[in-house]
Amino acid sequence: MSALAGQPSEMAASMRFAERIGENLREACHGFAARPAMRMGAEEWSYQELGAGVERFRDWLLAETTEGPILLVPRNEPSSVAMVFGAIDSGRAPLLADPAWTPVELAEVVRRSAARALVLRKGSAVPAGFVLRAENGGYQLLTAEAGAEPSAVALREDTAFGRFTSGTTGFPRCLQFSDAAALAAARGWAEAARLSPGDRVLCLATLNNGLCFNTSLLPVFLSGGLLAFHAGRVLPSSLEKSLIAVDATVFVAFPFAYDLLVKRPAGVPVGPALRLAVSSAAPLAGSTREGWRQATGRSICDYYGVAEVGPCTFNDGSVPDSVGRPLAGVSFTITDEAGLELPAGETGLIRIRTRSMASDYLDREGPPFAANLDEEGRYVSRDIGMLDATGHLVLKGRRGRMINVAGRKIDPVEVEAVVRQVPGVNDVFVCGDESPGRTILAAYVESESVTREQLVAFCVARLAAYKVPQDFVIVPRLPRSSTGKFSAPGIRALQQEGTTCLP
Amino acid sequence: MSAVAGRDVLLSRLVGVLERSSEGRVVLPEHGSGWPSLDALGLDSVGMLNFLVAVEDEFGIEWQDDVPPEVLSSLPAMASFIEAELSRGGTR
Repeated sequence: MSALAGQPSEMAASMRFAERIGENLREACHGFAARPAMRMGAEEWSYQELGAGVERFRDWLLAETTEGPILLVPRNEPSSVAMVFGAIDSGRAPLLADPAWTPVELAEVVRRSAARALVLRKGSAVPAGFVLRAENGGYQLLTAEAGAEPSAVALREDTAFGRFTSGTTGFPRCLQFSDAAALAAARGWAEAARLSPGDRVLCLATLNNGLCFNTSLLPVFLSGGLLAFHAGRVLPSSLEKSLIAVDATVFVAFPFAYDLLVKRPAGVPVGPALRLAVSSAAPLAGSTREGWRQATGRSICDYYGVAEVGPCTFNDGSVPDSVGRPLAGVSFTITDEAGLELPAGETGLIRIRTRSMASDYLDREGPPFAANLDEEGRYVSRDIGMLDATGHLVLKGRRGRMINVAGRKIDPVEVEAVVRQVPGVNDVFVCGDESPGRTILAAYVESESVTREQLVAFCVARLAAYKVPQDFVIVPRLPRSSTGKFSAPGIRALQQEGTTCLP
Repeated sequence: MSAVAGRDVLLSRLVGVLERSSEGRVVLPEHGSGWPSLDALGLDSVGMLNFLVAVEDEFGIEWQDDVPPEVLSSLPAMASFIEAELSRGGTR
């Protein structure tokens, strides 16, 4: 049971942690009072209204639940922001789900994280076996019919919320973050980006995503700026309207949004107020980077962050191919595989020391979080990089099988586990195939009978759309080595043949 | 050209746009019975966006935010919508 749960002890428990997100947000809402805090289309919330919304959702969750964590599925809209911070302030430890997850995935995440409740926007597809317990405005609170499973792992006393990483264990893993970690990340970013009450930040990343959480929620509110959401589809014509209507000073988006905008025949639709364009999560194409610079006269701030540790750099664009210099409170060490520190200019593993690091996973279905840390408490990333003489970080590659599709990290093990369940499939190998302009998720399927249509239908029902392979290569026998493992050269040969099977 | 024939031509062009924008990953029969929904084709979000942008380019239209999601759920629904827009001379 959560140490933050239980009505009478909650306030006492909260007092143990001097720096709370809720306290900082309340102070901002009081101080910036009538200033606009959020906008989406014609809908605008002042800081006072944000504070009231946070309080309303906090009180609702305290009345309707007895303990955390709760799985919360936010959308990019003002009420969801109030819900997220209300849930954090309630001490119920909201775990921020990906709105793209299917009901099947949500139910599994609830089970694995031992979430006590699920909060969804009304009208969302409800996972089987969940019953409605309460409603508030546009939100509904549900619990599993069978009751919550006993927690496999304790929620830490200092956990304020959880976010998910795609993991390497075949299923998303929940990371626990403390108030102190989130505040350190927010302050580091706000300082580096020089956010101020005059800023209007248009953010396309979803609330659960690190790109949004690290650059556009707390950092904006603690600075008194305006956070704007795009109300339409992520199409260039629609984005143009938002950029102009908001008159954004800061634009936060994944690389594919920049790709779309740069390719727009009418040119990049940004106003003179835009001073900072932020991207992360996946490499920017050189043509996009250059196209944006030519159109706006500014570089895209392509920064480096890691789900487990938060934002790490700020990139002012002064060093080509770099992801910038470390944020305040962040330091990097580049080492060889044995942990020996390498001098500037040499390439090796990136180790990170930061106050914004997660404190633990919320499951025991994979290696413990401590396994990511070295003996000095530094996070050992899977990224390969180099620090130049001026302290700028240049990324050089990544270890492991994780696939990055348009900024979303996909664990191939998770997709393989689903594809293997399709009748007629003997085995499967999932990887990212490079296609002009983007990485394509591809599944190499061993089967003598299955069709692409069957594979797609099965995956669509069980996996978020971004995890559904776009390429299915179906062969009677996948190439294997003498030990029975998939043969990398053989798979590469299949890729080069491009023998995609179609219905 | 009859309305039905015009819609068939539009559908055929949409199929071509889908095949090109997906770089051949999605291929549909030219005249299938029971068109699958676009969701059922398993396009990821980037694939869907690439398709919608390619449709804008192909037909000289712009997808406004008030276009109902049903219109974007299948090729026949999309073709009907585009047909109506073109007949109005609109540039939606």
